[in-house]
Amino acid sequence: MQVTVQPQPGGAAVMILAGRLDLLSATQVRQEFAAAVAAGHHRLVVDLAAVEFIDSTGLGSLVSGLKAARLAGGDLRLARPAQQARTILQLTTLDRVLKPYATTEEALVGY
Amino acid sequence: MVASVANRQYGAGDGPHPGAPGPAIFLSPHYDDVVLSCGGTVAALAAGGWQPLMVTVFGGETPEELVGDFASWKHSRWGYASADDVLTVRRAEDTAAAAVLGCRTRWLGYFDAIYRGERYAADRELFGELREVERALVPLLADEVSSLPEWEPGTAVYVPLGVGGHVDHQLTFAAGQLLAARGIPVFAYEDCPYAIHTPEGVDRRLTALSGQVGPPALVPIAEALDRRIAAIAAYTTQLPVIFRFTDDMPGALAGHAARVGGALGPAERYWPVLATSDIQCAEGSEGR
Repeated sequence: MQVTVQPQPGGAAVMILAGRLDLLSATQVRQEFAAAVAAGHHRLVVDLAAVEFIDSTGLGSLVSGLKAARLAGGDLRLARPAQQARTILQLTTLDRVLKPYATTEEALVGY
Repeated sequence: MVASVANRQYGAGDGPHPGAPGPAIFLSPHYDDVVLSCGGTVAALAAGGWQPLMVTVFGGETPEELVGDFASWKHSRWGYASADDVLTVRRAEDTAAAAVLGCRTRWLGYFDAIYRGERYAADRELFGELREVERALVPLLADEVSSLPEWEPGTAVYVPLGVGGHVDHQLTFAAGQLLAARGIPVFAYEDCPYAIHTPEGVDRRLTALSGQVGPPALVPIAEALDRRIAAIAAYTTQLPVIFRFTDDMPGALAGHAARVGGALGPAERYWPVLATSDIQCAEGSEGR
């Protein structure tokens, strides 16, 4: 899993994930979220456009990131999920908490 | 360990059968289901050096927003303050139980049915008909199980039969059907304690699954029964609710195993899941 962090104003950051978000990459992604929050980026936007596949363990890493960001007074939002990601978010009902945004710009609005 | 069907004893050359030596993945819809239902078989495989893997399916880390009124009521019944509390406590219990059995554990990220929005907002729904939209979870689960790093050639998969009708048990059984259709040996275990406190539920489930499972086979667990009981005791926060029908948990478990095994001694019972294109998710009625 390739992770690129793009700091934004006001303690925000866009985290671009590329690859499969699954059992094999979930630990790395959790650590990346924790590192971003520790670096002062509490308002995270996770760009999922290049994430070709998410399984339930991968979803768990997103939940972990959400909790870490909120513990620091921030939040986590998703942007540009591909169809497979949207499907699993809906099936598991996680889309009730992590509502996907069409663009990272929209996700950053209001942060 | 030798499985038995009626008077038949399985031997080394009989092909896949429950409890057969080899790699095994036990799917537990929730943190305690495998230990409650087939902990003896797990312990026996572990004692034989096979490193069985116990996978909890619907025990994912859950955001608090998904804790609605029904889930809150469940939390209070179990003595938990929050979803995070549930995760911390139940995973610690699961780890302790696995240590007693000698097996490995893995927790998938699916949410328990009580957190899946308004799909199931009461016990009668939790133990009722599966919501149509959720059937799409079945292939996702089957794929995820067969993609686990612990998966190896010859792995047998154990799934709940679905006695009691809990929707998460139904989904897990259906994933087993999909795996069976792919040629993987899959065995359905007798969901306990449902089979103990409502034995007619077993026949009800088998009737609903007519043609979907083969004849039952028994796995003797005399040498592993004590370890199964000790492992169940590790789920301390669950025991008062799960075993509210008895004040003698060890006796209830041992008695059931003895009745199941008959002349064979204490045993656990399994049904081979047949390869079929029809994935069934039958209704149940018992509550927990």
